[in-house]
Amino acid sequence: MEKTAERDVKVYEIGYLIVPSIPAEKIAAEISTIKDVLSKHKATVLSDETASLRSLAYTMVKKIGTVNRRFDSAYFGWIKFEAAPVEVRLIEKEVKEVESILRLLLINTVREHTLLSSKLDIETSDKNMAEGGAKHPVSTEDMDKSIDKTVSDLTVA
Amino acid sequence: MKQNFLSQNKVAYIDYKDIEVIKKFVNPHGRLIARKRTGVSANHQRQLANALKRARFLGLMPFVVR
Repeated sequence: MEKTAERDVKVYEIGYLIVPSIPAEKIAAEISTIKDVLSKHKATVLSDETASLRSLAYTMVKKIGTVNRRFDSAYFGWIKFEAAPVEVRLIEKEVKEVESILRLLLINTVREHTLLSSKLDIETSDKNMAEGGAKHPVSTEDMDKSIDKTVSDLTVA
Repeated sequence: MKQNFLSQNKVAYIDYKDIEVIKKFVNPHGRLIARKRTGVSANHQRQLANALKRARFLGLMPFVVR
């Protein structure tokens, strides 16, 4: 019974924030430190996203040495992996001990690709701003037609 | 937003990294909108709540917007 429990694996995901004081060239090294911890605990990486610098929604505080440092931005990345449940708490503990990790989230997840924004092509406000307006330019004729249709639908209803 | 966006697109799992999706169900103060208003199923509302809490923890979403 114990042997089967050991062989059982579940899918987990680690979402992490790395302090922005680390130069961009050294981020790969930090990520490989996390991946080393995973491989040490016989976890299989299923998918991941390389950490990229992004601004945070609120200021986070991390005690480095004796000083409380405040961060408004961080490198955010995630790794989806498969591991035995008994190993997961150890993985979390060890990754948290990495000095450059600002914050860590370990969750149960599913094996399938879960990001909807790429699947459904949800228009982001940033994208719209960058492209200078609507994704598909609409002519005034088309707009008039659609308004007429909506009005006729409403009157019928 | 009475049409259920999540059910229409047959969403099975709401990811905390999908900020654009979560933002559709959050009010200008950063609070989750009641399903009475959004029309999402109870299951999706629970998933949204979880995803929002995770996104807040990682600083992807704010706890409060003043």
